[in-house]
Amino acid sequence: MSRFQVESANGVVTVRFPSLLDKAAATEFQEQFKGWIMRSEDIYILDFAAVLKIDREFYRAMINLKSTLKSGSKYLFSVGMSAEHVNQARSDGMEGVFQPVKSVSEAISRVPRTTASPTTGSVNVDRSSVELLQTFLFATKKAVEVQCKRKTAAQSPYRKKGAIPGVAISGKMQLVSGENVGSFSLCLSKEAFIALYEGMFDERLTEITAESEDAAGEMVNIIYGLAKTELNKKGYKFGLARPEIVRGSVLEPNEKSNSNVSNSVVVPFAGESGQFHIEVEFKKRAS
Amino acid sequence: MFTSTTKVLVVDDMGTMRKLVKRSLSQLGLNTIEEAADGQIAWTKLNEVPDTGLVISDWNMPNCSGLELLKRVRSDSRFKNLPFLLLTAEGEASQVKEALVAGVDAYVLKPFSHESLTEKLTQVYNRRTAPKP
Repeated sequence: MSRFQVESANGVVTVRFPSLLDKAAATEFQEQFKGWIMRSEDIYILDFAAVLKIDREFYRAMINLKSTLKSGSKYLFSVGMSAEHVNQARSDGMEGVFQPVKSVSEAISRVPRTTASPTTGSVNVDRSSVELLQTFLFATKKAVEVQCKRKTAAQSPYRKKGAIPGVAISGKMQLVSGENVGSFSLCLSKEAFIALYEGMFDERLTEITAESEDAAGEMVNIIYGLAKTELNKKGYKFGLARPEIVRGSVLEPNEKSNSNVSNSVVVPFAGESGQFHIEVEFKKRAS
Repeated sequence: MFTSTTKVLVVDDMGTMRKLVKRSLSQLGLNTIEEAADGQIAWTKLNEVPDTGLVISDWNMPNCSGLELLKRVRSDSRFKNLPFLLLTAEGEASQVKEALVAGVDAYVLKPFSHESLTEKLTQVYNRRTAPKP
């Protein structure tokens, strides 16, 4: 069971921290907040009331969380910090990351009114999105490590804000489950595609060719199959689907019109696989 | 195990997956391999080469799925005992059950390793060649 207790009410997520925030706690916490960008809540309160010691090794997790939430236009605050911990954060230049406040109401009052709104009515979709993101994340890791024999690790997710450069080939699958629709994309740089292809076939490849490019589609097939099996056990209704292969990025309609708004969440991966990313979008079908 | 003269039909709409399966079969000494990009083409090839000794098929393909191919194969007396292996990303329990009911010999889930495919092929061979009680 996690040492970080998370509660949600009225658009505010509260996280109760354990007494010791050290390197191990940082690792555990970072795993936990990977899917948070998909949540609909906009305000995140870290409750330090039980915290006795903050190691500086925990700062990295705080910086990553702050950065992740900021990319999704979400707000982070800390309550219950002792004067000693506030001073520590201030002298280490971390006050802007922790954002200490006296109470939850003070945190809410600091957020623009358009953001600090309850999430009634969207909770189910939101929970689905987090579940979906995590399932695709694990499926991607497993598909790459088993089929391509290359170790890979997910990095912190962020909300997509526009076309991502460096993508040589993408595979995309439409997602349809009941009233919810979206898409899953696997976006590979040339280097990552070659690393995965070489891992799959144990043979050298120097360029992406017409013959080799459907490997991207097959990887999407495998990832979707793994994710579908897990998600349908939880009540989703994903059916058979077929991937689309595109040279370069898979653009969303709003990217084509240069809008900065996107519903996609990006999860970068790195490791022996080279750098690549997945994009997941899932929302209620427009009526 | 299957011998070097066993004729194998590999069915998958993705060329890279057919290549991967062929590579595994080749390591097992199986080099007489036909390919098909969907169940319809596979059915035509089976009729052209009725002494095919093993089918390895994907499930999710255009025109005719692996499951539809399996049902056609089992409904034809010539292929009643033809070893048929599904190699697929479709892993839901209901799908596995449907394939077993339709008469599949083995079910291999993607992602797969060379070892897991070899193990399943060995199981299929042993089951097919075991003396009947």
